[in-house]
Amino acid sequence: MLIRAFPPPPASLPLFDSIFPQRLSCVLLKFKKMRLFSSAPRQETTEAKEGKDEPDMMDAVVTQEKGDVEAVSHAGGAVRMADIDPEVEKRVVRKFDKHMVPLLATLYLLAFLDRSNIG
Amino acid sequence: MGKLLWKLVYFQEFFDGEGGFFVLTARDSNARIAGMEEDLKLSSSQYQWLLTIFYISYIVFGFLTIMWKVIKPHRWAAGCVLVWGIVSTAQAATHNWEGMMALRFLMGAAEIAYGPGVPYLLSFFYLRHELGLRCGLFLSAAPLANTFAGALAYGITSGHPGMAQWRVLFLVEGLPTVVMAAVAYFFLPDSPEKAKFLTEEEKVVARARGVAQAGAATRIGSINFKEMLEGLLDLKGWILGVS
Repeated sequence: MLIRAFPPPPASLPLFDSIFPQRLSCVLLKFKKMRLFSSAPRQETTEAKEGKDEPDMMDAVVTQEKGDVEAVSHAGGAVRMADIDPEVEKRVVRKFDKHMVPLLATLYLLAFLDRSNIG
Repeated sequence: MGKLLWKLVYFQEFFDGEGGFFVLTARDSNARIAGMEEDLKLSSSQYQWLLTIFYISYIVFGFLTIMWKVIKPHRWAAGCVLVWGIVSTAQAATHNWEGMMALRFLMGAAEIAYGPGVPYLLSFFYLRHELGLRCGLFLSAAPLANTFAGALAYGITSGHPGMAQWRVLFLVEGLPTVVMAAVAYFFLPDSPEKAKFLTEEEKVVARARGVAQAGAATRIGSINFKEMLEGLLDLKGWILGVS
């Protein structure tokens, strides 16, 4: 059975906190408490929705030591699994930051340059 | 969940208001100064129309954003960039107000077809709690462009080339965009599993992240009209749109 949920958002957001100095971050903490900057963990039952190649992939994703996989029953009765290697995940996000965002932002910058010649 | 969405609407309103303010105040024409107005014999109201026509097509063609979902994102993005790059460059060759109006109209359409789809594309790559920062970085390119657009235009138009300075301005700022269209075509991945810069192991993880969030690995290639209707009937979107 594959009932998966994503790990909950971190209690503090390290990058966020380092960007904003303390006083400003107090103000923004209100927003954080409103849960605007973090996402609530969303339970997703994948079994029904996914194609037949999914189980293979899942096996690969589930970390090697089964001891790592914490199965905790929650109030909602959902089962949580720590199934993604955090090291690899960090690397993936860094690569997206490096390859996707600068390219798309550069294009947006050019859009504004081009339109502001008359404007 | 409904409450959270309302909060998001208010929050976005706040920044939207800010954005409108900055558009109204920070603009000054670079090409006007560089002699375009005299060369094309523009009246003041004709010049105002050049500004207005851009936003008319910007609004009218807003629906083109949906094409991000129909056509492969790298093709659609590259196509939009190519169109507005060519149009922007072609402005250098205009001889009258009518031609400039037509080009500004096309440019509005191409730019609206690109911008709003980007956060959607990024949502394939990032989880919700990661997405905000990246969209912020993306959107911050607009004010960044405004900070040095004037200085750049000054630099470009301060030479004494063989042609009118405003024509040089459009050429120099338009041609890099055409080049970037090719870059986007070859380097922009459609989805995490198609990203050439990821290793196989990383692709598996990237895909699993997408599945964990959205319940499906791919969301491109079709439009669910029922979902589209639901989105159109959502009051929150209308509040944002009207204001």
